[in-house]
Amino acid sequence: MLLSRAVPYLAASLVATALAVGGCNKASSGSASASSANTSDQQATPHDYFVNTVYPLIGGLSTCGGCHSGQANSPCAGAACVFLGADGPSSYDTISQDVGLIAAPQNSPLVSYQHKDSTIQLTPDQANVLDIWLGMEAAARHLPGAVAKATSLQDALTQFGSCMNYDVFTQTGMGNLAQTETDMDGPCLGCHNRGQGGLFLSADPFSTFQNFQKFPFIEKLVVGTVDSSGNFAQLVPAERISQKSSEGCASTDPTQCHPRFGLSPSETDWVRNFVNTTLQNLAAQTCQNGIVTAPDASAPNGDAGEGGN
Amino acid sequence: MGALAGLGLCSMSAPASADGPAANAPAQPVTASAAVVTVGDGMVVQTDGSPNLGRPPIWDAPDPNTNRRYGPGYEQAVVNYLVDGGNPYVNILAMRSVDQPNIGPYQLLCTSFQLHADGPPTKAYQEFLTQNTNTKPANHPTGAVVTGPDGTPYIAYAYGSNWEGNRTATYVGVTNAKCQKLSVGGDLRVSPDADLNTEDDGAPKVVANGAGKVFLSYLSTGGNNDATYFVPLQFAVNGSPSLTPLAMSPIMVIFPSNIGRPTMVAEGNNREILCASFDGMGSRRPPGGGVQCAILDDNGTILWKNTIAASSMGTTPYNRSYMAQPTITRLGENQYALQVNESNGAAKNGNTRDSKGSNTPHLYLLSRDVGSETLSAAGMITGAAAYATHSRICSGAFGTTSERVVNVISASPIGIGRGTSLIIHVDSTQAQPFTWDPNNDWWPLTWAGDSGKVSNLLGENPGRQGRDFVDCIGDVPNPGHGVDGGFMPQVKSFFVTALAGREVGWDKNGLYLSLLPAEADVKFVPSNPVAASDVPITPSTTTTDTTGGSKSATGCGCTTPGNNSGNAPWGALALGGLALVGLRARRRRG
Repeated sequence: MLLSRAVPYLAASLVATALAVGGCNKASSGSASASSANTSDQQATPHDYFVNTVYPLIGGLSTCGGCHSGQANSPCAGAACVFLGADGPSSYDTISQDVGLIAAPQNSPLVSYQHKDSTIQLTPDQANVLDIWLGMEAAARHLPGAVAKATSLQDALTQFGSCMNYDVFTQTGMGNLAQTETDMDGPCLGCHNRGQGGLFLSADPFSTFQNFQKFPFIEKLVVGTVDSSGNFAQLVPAERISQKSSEGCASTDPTQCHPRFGLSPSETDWVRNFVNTTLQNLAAQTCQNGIVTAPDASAPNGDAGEGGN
Repeated sequence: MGALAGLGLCSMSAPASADGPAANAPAQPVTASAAVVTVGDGMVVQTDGSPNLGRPPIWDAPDPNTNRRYGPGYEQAVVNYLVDGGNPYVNILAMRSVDQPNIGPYQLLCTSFQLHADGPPTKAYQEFLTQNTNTKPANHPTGAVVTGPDGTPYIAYAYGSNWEGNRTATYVGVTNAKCQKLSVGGDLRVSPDADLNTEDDGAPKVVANGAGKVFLSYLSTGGNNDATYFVPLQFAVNGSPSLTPLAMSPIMVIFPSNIGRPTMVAEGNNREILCASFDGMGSRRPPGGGVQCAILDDNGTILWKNTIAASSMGTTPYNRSYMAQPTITRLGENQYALQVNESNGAAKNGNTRDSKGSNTPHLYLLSRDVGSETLSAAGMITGAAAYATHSRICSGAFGTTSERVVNVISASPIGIGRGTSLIIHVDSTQAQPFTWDPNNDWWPLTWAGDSGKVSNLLGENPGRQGRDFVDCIGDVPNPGHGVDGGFMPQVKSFFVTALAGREVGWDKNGLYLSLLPAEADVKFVPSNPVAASDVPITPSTTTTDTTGGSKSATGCGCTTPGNNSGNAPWGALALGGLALVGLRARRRRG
């Protein structure tokens, strides 16, 4: 529920940071939900994904194509900023021949270019499909910044940490997690603000975020599984924080026990949604735009081991 | 899926036996949780179309008065149980902050939740009972169920308000399960006209007997005296329900009493018991006298009155202790529990408000001798509360033996932690009649709890005063008991509370309705609260799986392995708690 509510809110906030290809859309027109990416397209080749999914969103004359297909009287007419053609395949060829446009999402000017007119920005949908497509290209071409399939838990944790998105972190509520109260001993950050017990919860949400990206704190969010051969298989949600609230204490001395606490459904959802969203982003290589999609409760959790490339 | 997952965890936790079914195995404790419904969240802007929860607070205001009357959200909720038209309801009367033109900053909100056999409680009715003006429009609500001649249940309620004058007066009214305002001509002011601009008459308590009599008590301060008063009222339904005072004027019972907020029980058979604190040794707040109780008949005749808990007023201020904040509950015929909170008076003794006093709870077992009409203390225990400050008690049946217990409910006065019940077992044959287990009798009720912080910051006199008056009732039947696929089918009855608290991310205090498993077919040990909508729906009977592991289908938990004495239960809760937290049971009702 939280995620579905957060989608338009997050998407709107991300418009400001999802930087635009030249002359795409005025920001005011970017009201579409970022959740409409067709995940089935992720199985397609990068070329097919571009033709079938990306081009329809950016190629039209009312969108990026209004300038970047070289239309007369447009800023790009006769200029070097033409990279779209009359259709998807020709546009793909044009972009492919233009050095530097195809790169990992975080490195590509297709995503990162800032127009002089700051009101021209990618819509959330446009940013989303561009990121997915560029992620696919980067992985297929082994470009710098591409996220390759992790072969070890260490690599997978590094990928997960790198994929964590601060916008997703705050929008899912994780920025407030440190304020969770114990029954008698004050908020969690009172003890965990230096990382005690392998959990780093600071009054500064960004500090919490940064530390969650690192080992060992990241293991409060995700842990690895192994296959039948004992090799790393995939990352799965650790559920460690919510589990802790139900654990007892082996000591008879109460002072040696963790303070008693419980997570509310909202707080439980904060962690669950952030972890699942990040796993999804890692699988789809949409870490940068922080796409928030409602997880399918009947589907297995996203994984970084198999879906990472 | 939830039920299956829950059973899966249960079977994991149950030891497999090569000897076949575990029919002869000793009964194992089962984890259980309070089922929680969020009556209203603590966001200023409400998403359900209801009025804003007061005005947005300014948390770091340089002058505390900036937030005066901005409203803490929900506060001072009381609960009642009634069955109307064959449908069981839990009714909540609460102060709720509002931000509406031409009325005061909070109003009395009535909410009725219907209980169901096959699913969680659902909000059936919700209405404001007041739209009063002035600075204290409707505070400290109290209510009691009274039955009309045709068997229809009503709720007689009372509250304090200064909408008619400069000072607070006490009003009574009648509503029902549908939260309709039924009083003829509006709510009736019980306070005398002479008090309107001279005395504060508030902090009321109402109780009712089975014969249409309602009994009101309230505290009056200022003017010619400070005292706790008693007013018998006749309930009648002549066209519309009404309450009519049966005394020419309120009857002064406990005095002098500057902070004597009354507590009361209706014993029946023409007897009521009223307790309040009283002044003494020159100290009014906190009370230097202690706590007195009185036995009255239905007309308000005082049959007996004496001090149950005396304050200790030595010559050294720092050694003084003040007995106050009484709540009384009926355990059985002529037997009661009285809780009194002792204050160390730190702020008063030090003559500074920079040092806050602290509380120590004392729980007394009181017996009434019918022949001599006296009350006597048959035992006392100290420290029986999760959070001492502002804690209160109720009673009800509990456990597999339906023993009568005292439920001490409390929430932190500084807003940390959760609303919590401490179940106190009673054995009047013992020299120390009260016992409790700090682990197995400690039940978290909500996800946040606050008995003072937000009301202190956002109410009247910001930073100087503010408390909640937590309330609970026991013996609320569970319609799902014994029903296959029912709601908590192994729970016969609940303790019910409505408790305020501020979750992380909320602007102010929201309000929770909490159903705590009480009387049950199996022994329960506490686990973390769960949303009522997430309670797994399970069969009502204990079954045995083919591996010999017992599957205790509780509807609210899993069989736990081993002995849960001492510190063990919370460890044993891990699996069961997981089952509850992680599951999403099918939601039969929104």
